[in-house]
Amino acid sequence: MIEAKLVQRITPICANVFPIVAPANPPVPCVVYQQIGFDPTRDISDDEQTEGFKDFQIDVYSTRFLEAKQVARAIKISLKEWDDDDIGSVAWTNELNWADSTTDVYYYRVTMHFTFYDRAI
Amino acid sequence: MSMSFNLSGFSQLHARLQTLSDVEATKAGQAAVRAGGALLARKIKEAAPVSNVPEGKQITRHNKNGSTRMETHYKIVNHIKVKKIKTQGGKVEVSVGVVKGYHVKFVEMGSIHNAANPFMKNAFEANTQEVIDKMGQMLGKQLVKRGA
Repeated sequence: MIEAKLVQRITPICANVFPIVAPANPPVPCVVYQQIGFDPTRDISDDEQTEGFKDFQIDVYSTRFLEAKQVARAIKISLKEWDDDDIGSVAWTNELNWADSTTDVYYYRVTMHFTFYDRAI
Repeated sequence: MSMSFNLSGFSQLHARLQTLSDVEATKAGQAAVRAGGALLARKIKEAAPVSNVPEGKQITRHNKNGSTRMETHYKIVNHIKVKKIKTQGGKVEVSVGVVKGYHVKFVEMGSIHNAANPFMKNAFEANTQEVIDKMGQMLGKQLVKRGA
């Protein structure tokens, strides 16, 4: 499952990794990941869809901007180098530097989008 | 997300476009991208989430220094617009987006405690071919109108 491998890859860079949303008062820096799209491959000789492109949004939050940037950069480098039997390719497709002002604590935020070719859906 | 679309026929349209003056070709192109933009705006509106917060309600927002400010709530579905973009070098462009509504980016990309709901991204990707087809149809009509 790609999520387990993704966490395995990110955790050495940032130990605080959460799916979809962070808990209340999260430790920072923290990373939140969410699958935001899926495009299965369609094989005309086989109806079962066993591979496909998965879009992920990976957010790095910190109360310090440069820390968020450094963690994001390290994650980006690690993911772009990812190549194993289950992940055919990784494309870094977008990055946005901004801030999350939805809570009492003001977080700097680096949002990254990646597309993974998952051979083991 | 992989994206594929069919552009067959556009080379013929392009050849006809080149028979027009720059002014006429630009007007034809502008009409085509406006048509595509309007279709995309409609699709985004259909996909946009609708909350029960009324239009115009005053919402409390947090500032970096810990203070708060009041902001007017604008419903996303009421403020999706197509806007012409100034360009150079013979390009014609429009932008399709939400012109009012501070919170739309937190809906699209989520926040630290709210999941992302990429309705604009999904609407764009699901309707790319239809938008391209629409632009091709409009460009064809504009070329006929201008005698090309």
